Amino acid sequence: MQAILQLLVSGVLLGGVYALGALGLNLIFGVAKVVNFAHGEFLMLGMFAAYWLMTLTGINPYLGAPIIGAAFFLVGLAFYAGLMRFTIYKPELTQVFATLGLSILLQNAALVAWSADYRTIQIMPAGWESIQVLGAYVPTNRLVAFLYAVAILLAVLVFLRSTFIGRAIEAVSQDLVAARLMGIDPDRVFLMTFGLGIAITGVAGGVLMPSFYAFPSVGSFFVLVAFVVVVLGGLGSIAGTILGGLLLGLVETGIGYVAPDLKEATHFVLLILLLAVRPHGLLGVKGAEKETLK
Amino acid sequence: MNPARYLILRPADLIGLALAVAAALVLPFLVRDDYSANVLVLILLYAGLASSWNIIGGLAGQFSLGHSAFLGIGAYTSTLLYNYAGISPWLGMLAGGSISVVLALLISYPTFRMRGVFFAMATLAVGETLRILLIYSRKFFPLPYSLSIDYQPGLARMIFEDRASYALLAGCYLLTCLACTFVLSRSYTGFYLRAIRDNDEAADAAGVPVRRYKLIAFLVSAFLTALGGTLMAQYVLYIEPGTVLSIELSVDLPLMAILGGIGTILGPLVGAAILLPLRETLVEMLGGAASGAHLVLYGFLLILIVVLLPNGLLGGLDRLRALTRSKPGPSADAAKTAGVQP
Amino acid sequence: MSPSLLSVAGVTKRFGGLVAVDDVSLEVAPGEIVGLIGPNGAGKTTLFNMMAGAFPPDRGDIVFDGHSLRGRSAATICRLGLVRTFQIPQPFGSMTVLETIQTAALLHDRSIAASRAAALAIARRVGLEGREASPTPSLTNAQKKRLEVARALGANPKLILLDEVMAGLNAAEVARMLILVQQLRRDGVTVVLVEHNMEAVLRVSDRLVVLETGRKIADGPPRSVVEDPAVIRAYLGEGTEEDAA
Repeated sequence: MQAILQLLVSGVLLGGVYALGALGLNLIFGVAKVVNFAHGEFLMLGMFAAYWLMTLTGINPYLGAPIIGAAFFLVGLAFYAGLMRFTIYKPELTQVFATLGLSILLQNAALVAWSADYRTIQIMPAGWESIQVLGAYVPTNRLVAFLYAVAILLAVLVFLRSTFIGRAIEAVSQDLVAARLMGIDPDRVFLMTFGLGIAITGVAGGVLMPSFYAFPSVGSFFVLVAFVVVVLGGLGSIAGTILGGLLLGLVETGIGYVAPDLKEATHFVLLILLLAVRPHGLLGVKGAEKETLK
Repeated sequence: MNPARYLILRPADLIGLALAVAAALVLPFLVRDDYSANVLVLILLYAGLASSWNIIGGLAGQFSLGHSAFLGIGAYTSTLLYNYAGISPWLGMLAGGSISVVLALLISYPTFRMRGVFFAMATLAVGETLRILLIYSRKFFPLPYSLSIDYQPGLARMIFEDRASYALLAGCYLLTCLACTFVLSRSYTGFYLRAIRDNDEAADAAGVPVRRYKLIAFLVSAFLTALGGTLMAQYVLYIEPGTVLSIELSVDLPLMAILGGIGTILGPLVGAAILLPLRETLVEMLGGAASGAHLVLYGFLLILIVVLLPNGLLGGLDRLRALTRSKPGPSADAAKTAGVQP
Repeated sequence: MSPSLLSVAGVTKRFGGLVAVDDVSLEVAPGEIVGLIGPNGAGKTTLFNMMAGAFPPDRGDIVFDGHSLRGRSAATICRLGLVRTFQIPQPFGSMTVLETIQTAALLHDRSIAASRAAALAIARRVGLEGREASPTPSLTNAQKKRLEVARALGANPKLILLDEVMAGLNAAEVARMLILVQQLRRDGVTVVLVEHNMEAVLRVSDRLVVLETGRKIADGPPRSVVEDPAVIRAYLGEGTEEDAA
C-alpha cells in the first residue's frame, strides 16, 4: 500500500515535470504545425541558464524563472525570425532537417562552451531535500517544479482564452486560412508562438535544473520524452499535454520500479504504438497528425 | 525481353554510369596513400548507405530516421555469427539483410499509417529502442558492450590487408545500391513511388497499390542498409551500440542524400563525396573530434543546405535545366516546384 | 433496362449521430450519364466517396460490374474499372502532365513506351495537347480539372466518377468540359457526376438522382426531376409552398 502511494506520488510529480517540458513543443506544433527537433536543446539551454544564473549571481531558478522566461522569449523570437520563418511554408523535410541541424549545432556549441561535465545546483537547504506526506517521500525540488508546471499550464490556458494575441494564436491553430481572412497576420502569430513556446521551454529547463543533471546532450533525452507526451496526450492540445505528461510519469515510475533499465525503451515503444493506434492522441483533434501548412 | 521497353533510358545515363564506375571500380586502383584510401572507402560505403536510405526516403518520400536499426542489425548479425560461430561474413551479411527485412516488414504495420514527420519520429524511436534493447540484453546474454573482430586477413573472412581492397568492396556495394535505385526509379515503380511521395491519396485513386510499393521500397532499403552495416563492421573491425546504432548515423544518411539531391540516382554519392571530406577537414581544422567544434559548423551547414538547397546539388541542376528548357510564362514558375526528379 | 454496371443497394452511412446517407439505392446502366445532385449537406459527397471506395458503408452494399466493393481499397476498385476524380484537383506535384497520365496508364501495361503512347492519346482526348511536358503545378485550374479526368482515363475505366468537375470553371470552360463528358460516353465510358452547376448537369445527364438530407427523393429523366415538387421544395426550402398559398 505504502509502495503504491509512493509510486503514485512520484509518478504524478514526474508527470507534471514532463508535461511542463513538452508544453512548448506542443504549443508550437499546434499553431505552426512544426515539430521542433531542437526542442530538447532549448530545454538544455534553459537548464544551463539556471545554472549560470545561480552560479554567477546567486539568484536561484525558482525566483529567477521570470528572468529566464523573458530571455528565452527573445531567443524564441530570434529562432523564428532567423530560421523557422524560412521553412514554415516549405515541405516537412526542410523543417525536420533544419531543426535537427539546429539541435546538432546547439548541442555541440554547449559542449564547446561548457564541456561535457554533469552539473547540478543545490537550492533546498539541508534537511529540506524532501518532506514526508502521508508516509510518502516527496522530493521538494520536484514538488516546486510540479507547482511551476501547474501554474504555467493554467497561465497559458488563461492567456490563450482571454487575450487578443492568445485568441489569434488559437484561431491560427484551428484554421490558418480562415484566420488570415479575418485579418490576422499569421507571421506575427507564429512569431509570438515561437517566443512563447521557447520561453516556456526555457523556464521548464530552469525549474528542472535542481532535480536533473545538466549536460550538453541532455536535450536528446527530453525531446523524446516530449514527443511521447505530446503524442500520448494529443497533438496541439494543451489539456492533452497535462494528461500525457501525467500518464507517462506514472507509466515510467511503474516500469522503473520493475525494470529500471527499460524505462527509456518503454517511452519509444509507447510512442510507436500510440502513433500507430491513435496518432492524434487521447485529446487531440483527429487528423492533426496529417496537418501541414502547405 | 527488351529492358528498354520497361526502363526509361537517357543519353546522359552513360555519363552517370561512367562516373559511378570510375568512382567505384577505378579509383580504388589509383589511390595510393593511406589517408586518401581511407576517405575513399568511407565515401563509397556511406554513398551506398545513403543510396539505400534514398530508396525509401527519396524515391518513396518516407523520411526514415531509424536506419541505424538496419545498419546495426547488419553489423551485429555478421559479427556475432563470425565471432561466435565462425560463419563467414559473406553469409552473415545475407543473414543480417534478411533479419533487417523482417524487422522492416514488422515495423511497416504501425509506421506506414503515418506520414511525414510522424513517420520520422516513429522510425527514430525504432532505432533508439533497438539500441536500448541491445544494451539491456546484456543482462541475459554474456555479451560484451563492444565487439572486436580479430584481424586475420582473408577473402573468406572479408578482412583485407590493404585499404584498396576495402575500397573495391565498398565500390561494388555502392554499384549494387545504385543499380537497385536505377531500376526502381526508371521503371514503372519509379512512377508509382513518385505518385505515392507526391500524393498518396491520389495515387491510390489512380490504381497504385500504395502500401505494396512503399513496402517494396522499405524492404529493399532495409536489406541494402544491413549489407552496408556488415561492410562497416568488417572495415572498422569494432562495433558497439554507440556507433553502429547511433542517431548520428540515422541523420547522416538522409543528410548526404539531401545534399546531393534527394530522390536522384547519383545524389547520395555526390553528397557523401562532399560531406565526408568536409567533415574530416573540419575535424582537422578545429581540433579533436571529441571537442564538438566541427559539429557546430556541421549543424550550421545542415541548416543552410536544407533551407537554401532543399533539392540538393543535382536537384538544383535539374531545376536549372527545366528553367532553360521551358518557355517563359506559367511554366517558369512551375519549374520552381518541379523539384525532385529521378 | 440493361443490367446495371453499378448498383447501390440500401446504403447507409453515419458519422457520429449524423446520418449522412440514409438507405439509398440506385442503379447505373452501362453507357449512361447519371447526375447526382442535391442541396449542400444532402450526402452527395459521402455517397460518392463510398462509391469510390474511400470508406465502406455502415449498411447496404455497392456492387460494381458483379463485384462487391466491400473491403476493397481505392486502388483495387480502380483495377476493376471504377475510377474517380477529385473535386479539388490532386495532381502529382513533381510530375509533368504526361507523367501523371502515364502513372495511371501503367496499370494495364508496364511497358514505358506503351503507357506513354496511351498517355499521349489521352492528353489529346481531354484537350491537354501541347501541355504534355508542363509540370502539373503550372496548369490553370481548368487544365487541372481536365488532368483529373485524364488521369482517371489513364486507368482505362468502365465507369468514371466525376466530383464537381465544373466547379470554378467559367462558361467557356464549362462548355468544353461538357463536350468532354459527352465524348466519354461515345468512347464507351459510363459517367456518374456529382455537380452543383445545375445548368450543366441538366444539359449532359441522361438521368438525375436527387438526394436531400441523406435520402433519395427523386430519380429520373432531368426534365421530370426538376419539375418534381419534392425536388423544388428541397432546393427552394419549405417557405415556397406557403408563399404560393
